[in-house]
Amino acid sequence: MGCERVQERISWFLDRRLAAAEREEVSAHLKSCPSCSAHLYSLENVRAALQGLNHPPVPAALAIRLRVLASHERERQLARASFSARLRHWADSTSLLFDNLMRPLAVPFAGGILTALLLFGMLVPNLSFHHNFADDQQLWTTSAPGGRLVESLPGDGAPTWFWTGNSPEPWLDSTTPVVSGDDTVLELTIDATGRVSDYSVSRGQLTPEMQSIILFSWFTPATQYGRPTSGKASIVFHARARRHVRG
Amino acid sequence: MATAIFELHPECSADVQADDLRLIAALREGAEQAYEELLSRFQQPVYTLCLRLLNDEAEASDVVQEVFLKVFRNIGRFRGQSSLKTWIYRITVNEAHNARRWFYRHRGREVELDQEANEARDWKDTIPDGSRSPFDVAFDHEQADIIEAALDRINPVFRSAVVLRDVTDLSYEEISEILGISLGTVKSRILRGREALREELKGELRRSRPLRLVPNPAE
Repeated sequence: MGCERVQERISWFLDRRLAAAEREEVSAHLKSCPSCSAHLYSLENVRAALQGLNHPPVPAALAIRLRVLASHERERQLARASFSARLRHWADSTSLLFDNLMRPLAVPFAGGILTALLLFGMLVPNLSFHHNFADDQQLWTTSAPGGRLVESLPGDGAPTWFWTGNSPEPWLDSTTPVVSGDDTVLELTIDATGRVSDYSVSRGQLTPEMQSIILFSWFTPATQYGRPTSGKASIVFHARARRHVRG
Repeated sequence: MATAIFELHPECSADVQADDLRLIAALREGAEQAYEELLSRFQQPVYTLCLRLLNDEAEASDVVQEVFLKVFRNIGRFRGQSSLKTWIYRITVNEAHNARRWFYRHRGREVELDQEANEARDWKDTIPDGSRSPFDVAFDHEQADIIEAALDRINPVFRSAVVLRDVTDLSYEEISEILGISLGTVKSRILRGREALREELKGELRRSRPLRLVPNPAE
């Protein structure tokens, strides 16, 4: 075997890839040919140098990134496993997205609300609202105990109107000059919106006139410190043509 | 090609194949341990292979990530015609090849600009500087640097064959499967790669230590 053919096969010889017969031939030639054996020697050196190259360890940063990648890919794969998994994954990621959006806002938002409340609380005593207490119909002072006639409809047989407070009316009995024994007293409970919420007829019968008052009247509600409140009104239907006007 | 490997080491390859199939099944089920196992088995060899193919740590790291991303995404489509190892190495070689192509296409100008500086910092010129650091460390480093530089200079086609054979220690059959070429082509690429390396390293590897202290261009 000539030098050229040996040098073609020398790399395979090194890797023991030659058939036994060829291998014998090559090694016989190498023993006799110094240039070819030098060639083999240098190739062996190259190979040893390559094999001797150290294997630098995987950088820590890369190892961590690979782990993160694996974790992400695993989640991705699990999320695609079934329709319910997909739905769950979608719900999870939406809630995570919402959390991530809201979390940075939470503290400023709560702080803002608290600050606003604090400032408002500090400012309120200094704000002046116009209350016209003089316009109030101060029932609790005017109606008890003797009652006060606020309005009296003129005319024969017209009922007499009383505004009263929530207290029982000890004054509405036959001994008072306002109400005589055979008068009919319709007592209305009026809510804060001015509608009749309840009624009672203390003496006598419920007449159509009373019914129409109960159903169709709208009262200006009594006010207390400027706010509408419930109250009572008593209407006295006189049996005789007698009017009481008290102021 | 795969049958050839099994013929060479029937009992060993059967074990490996069973192990691979178990790992692949676990990966498809999304078992956490399987991901861990795949990384611990392959991250080091894949990184070493990338580093030797690209000779750039940062780029090798990027390519390793790409490789594992592809492995995780495509494990469902892996049919087991080849072993898991050769499949992953094939992805690695392709990714490294793409990275290199991208590098030349997009950073060609940078390379040109850097060339002058690189030449100034070539291993030939750094030889006399070995005396600055403790000698043995410098010697080892230099030796590795010289080999890496030589690897970097030879044709990438030959380099991948030589690296797969001598650094990653794969058989000819596995290499032919990974590179998708015939056994004959593998043989010739390894031969030519080794010869090219031998040419590049002529006289460098066996030079005696005292001589290395003398500034001396390689050629």
